[in-house]
Amino acid sequence: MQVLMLIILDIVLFGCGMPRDPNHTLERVQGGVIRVGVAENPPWVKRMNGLPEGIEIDLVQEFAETLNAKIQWMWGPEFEHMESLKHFELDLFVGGLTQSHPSRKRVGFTSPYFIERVAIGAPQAMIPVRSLKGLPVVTAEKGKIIAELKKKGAEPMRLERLARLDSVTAAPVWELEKLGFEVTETVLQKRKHIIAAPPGENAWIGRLERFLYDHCAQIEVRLKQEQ
Amino acid sequence: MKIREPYHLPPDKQELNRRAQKLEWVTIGFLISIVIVMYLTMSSSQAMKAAWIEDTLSLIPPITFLISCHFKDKSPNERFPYGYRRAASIAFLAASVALFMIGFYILFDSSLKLITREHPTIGTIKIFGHHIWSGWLMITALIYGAIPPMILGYKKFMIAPKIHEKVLRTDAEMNKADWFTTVAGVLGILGIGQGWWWADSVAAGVISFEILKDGIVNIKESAHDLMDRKSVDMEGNSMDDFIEDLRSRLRKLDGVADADLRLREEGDTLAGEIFVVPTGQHILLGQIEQAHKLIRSSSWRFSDIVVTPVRSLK
Repeated sequence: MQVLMLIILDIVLFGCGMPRDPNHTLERVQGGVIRVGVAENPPWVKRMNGLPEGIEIDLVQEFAETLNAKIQWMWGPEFEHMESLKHFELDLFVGGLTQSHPSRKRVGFTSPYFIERVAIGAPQAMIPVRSLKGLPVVTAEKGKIIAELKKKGAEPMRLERLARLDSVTAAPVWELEKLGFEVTETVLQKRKHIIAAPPGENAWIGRLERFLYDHCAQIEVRLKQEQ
Repeated sequence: MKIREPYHLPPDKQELNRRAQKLEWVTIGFLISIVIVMYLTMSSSQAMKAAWIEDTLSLIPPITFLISCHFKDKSPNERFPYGYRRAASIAFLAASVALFMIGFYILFDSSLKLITREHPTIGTIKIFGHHIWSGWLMITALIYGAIPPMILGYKKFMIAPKIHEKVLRTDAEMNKADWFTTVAGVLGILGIGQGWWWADSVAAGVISFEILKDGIVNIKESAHDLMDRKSVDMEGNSMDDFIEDLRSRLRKLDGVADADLRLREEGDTLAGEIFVVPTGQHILLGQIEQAHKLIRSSSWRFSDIVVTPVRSLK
């Protein structure tokens, strides 16, 4: 019986403090410096006079405060940041990344802290939108969204910034709502936003995940305030 | 062509066979639930992936057993005058080869991850309002995955020798050995929790050795079976005493000067030839039938015996 108690005690003590970081990232940054790689991707990361701003930047700054840490920001191309993460030369990388990023197997991703839906919206007068076939659809998106629209038979018209309020538009739901569009049920893409970290630093990633979960409600609000 | 007589197990063996089949259906049901649970929790752990693959592979022996039960009872016909009893051996061989190849793949994959120093990322998950480390969830899934197979394995292990079912026994052994895979998997994940990134790949490697071993042992068994190796009993001991006893009883028959047998296993049954040297110039039909009956009644396992008179046993 006593042996059993000892074994259980051992297991509990063993279990406390799990998980641990193989490279002690969480330990190191507390009261220290967090090295954060940044890549421009508004509204998540923006570059203003050489300094980073944006929704994810704010989140990381608040996170650093909870750890009593300073931040060292580093601009650079995405692939470089991913390499740095793999070699433990960076502690975080923010750039509006999503879960479908090709590097997901080689670095550590947090679980998604925000799911951004890109959908079709239209001015009140044009509701309901019966079919997209042959319909000109305005969008500021690139790549996959344009391809999706073409697949559905629409005629995508790309703009740098969304401004027109009188045509069917494809954009993230928060943006459609901000511009006063009615959001239809047609969802073109679901973007699961994550923040990248070095692989296997599970205590570090877990700490960040908890923080992001507690603060994710603010994100919708922040997005609507974006210019 | 003269078609073989259909063979049926005696009633008490049929009962055990039915019970074994029921256990295998239950096993399949539990395994499917285990496979789903483990797939949902495994994320990026090598050890979990290996354990999941092993659990998926454990579906093969029960399915093989149920298929062979279905075929065994089919009566021999024009196309298959010897009957369908060999179907089980073929399925058994195929399953063993699959086991071996997959064990090899996992060993290769986890060694690669060890060499390239991949650190597995295991984050947190929100359950019932609490953020917990996913590793705990994986450990729970692993433990859940061990309990039903171990219980079912023990039950099947008890039945197998009574109906001389090798596939059933192999399946039971694999189930009982599940505790080993589970412990390895749990240690792997606890290792990651402690910050030892390599623990996971090492655990996966260990599990793959188990699978490889299972594969090799079963390939040997099924190949020998198909090659009509001299039959051994379920523990692997020779049947020489049993055969010697049959030989001496045959020699005691009227009109028999000398006798010998040649037997082969067909799954759970025995088939073979009896060579009888008659005392006189002729051997009566009645004596052949006597020899036949003697052998058939000596064990429930005999399915097809051909008695042939010969001039001498040399």
